[in-house]
Amino acid sequence: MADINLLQTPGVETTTVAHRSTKLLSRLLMVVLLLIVVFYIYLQFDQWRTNRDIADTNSAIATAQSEALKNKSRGEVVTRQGQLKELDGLLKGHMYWSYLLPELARVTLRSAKYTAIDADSNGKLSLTVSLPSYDELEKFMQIFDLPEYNKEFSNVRILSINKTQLDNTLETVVRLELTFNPSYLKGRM
Amino acid sequence: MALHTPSIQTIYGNRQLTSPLVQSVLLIIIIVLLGWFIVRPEFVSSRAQHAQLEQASQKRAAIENEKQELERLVSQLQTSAEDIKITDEALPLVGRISRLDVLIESLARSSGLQVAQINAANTGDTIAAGNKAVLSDPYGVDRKLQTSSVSVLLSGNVDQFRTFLQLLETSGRVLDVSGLEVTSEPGATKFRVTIKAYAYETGSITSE
Repeated sequence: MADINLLQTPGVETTTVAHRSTKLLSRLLMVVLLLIVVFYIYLQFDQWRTNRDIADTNSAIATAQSEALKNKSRGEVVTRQGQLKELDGLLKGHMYWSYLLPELARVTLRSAKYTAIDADSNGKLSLTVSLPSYDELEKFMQIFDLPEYNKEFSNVRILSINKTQLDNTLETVVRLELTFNPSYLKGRM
Repeated sequence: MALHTPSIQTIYGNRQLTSPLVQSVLLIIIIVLLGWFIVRPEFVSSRAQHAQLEQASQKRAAIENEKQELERLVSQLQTSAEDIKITDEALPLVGRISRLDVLIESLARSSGLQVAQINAANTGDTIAAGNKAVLSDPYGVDRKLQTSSVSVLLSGNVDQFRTFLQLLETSGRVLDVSGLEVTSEPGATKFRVTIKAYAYETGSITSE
């Protein structure tokens, strides 16, 4: 009668567990490999689909551009847009010179008389003023130092002072150069 | 002595290859190599294509919006005849200097001033009339802001001159005074005004 060993040896059990684990790992890795292959196929399909969508979109862009360019009124719209843009810029910088003379008159003595006014759009103003005396000239100049009267004129420079015979009277003629605020004349519409 | 060449069956049947451990190691190597050298470049390429598609879609949406905006503007243009008339008066598409002279003379007369002199300068190389390219397609040519300068010598009194300035300021055409000179002479006061006028027209385009 053959000997029967009813007790299993511990080494055989450990080997079986290790064998099963590696087998399971192997199957898992097979599944991962399969998933990678499926993912690769999906990527190929996705790229084909994306390429098709890009081509469709580019075609739609070309069609839309072509239709826009074919619009007969497009040229007029573009021209009018440019015209309005330039007009807007011009109106913002437009100066209202008719406001200069009353403002100048407001800060001028009644006895003073302007014989020459030269102004440019940068705010430079040259004046030739005739006054009856030096006292009046001094009063005329003092007004430019009074902030309650004078707000728009500054940096008054005397270029020359002369006593001149005008209309049978001896007048004091002074040439001045001053600065006015150009923004005072802008945007008054 | 005969050489023994192993057959596939022999290799397949090799216990080492059929061992799950060896299979696992081989599978890991295959997964890594496949993932790194084949799938990863495809994935990167796919991402780049998606980004390209996104850009193209945005461009398409922008162009579609612009197209709709163009249609809206065309429709608005067709119903704004009065506004176009005002705009054309303020900034004409034809800046012929003789039109400006007519306007200034008219404003001076309306204010009661006498026109002693009108000098037009800076007319440039703009074609004043007979530009066939512009006549055939007025909106098909490139236009830009052109400036003309006119110097006017007037005589009268200060009130008349102020009225003239007010008329210039309120004129339908945008006119800017770039300089003014007032000289008081026995008998009359002289006013020299430098006026800038603008037009939105072609530069030096020549007709054929």
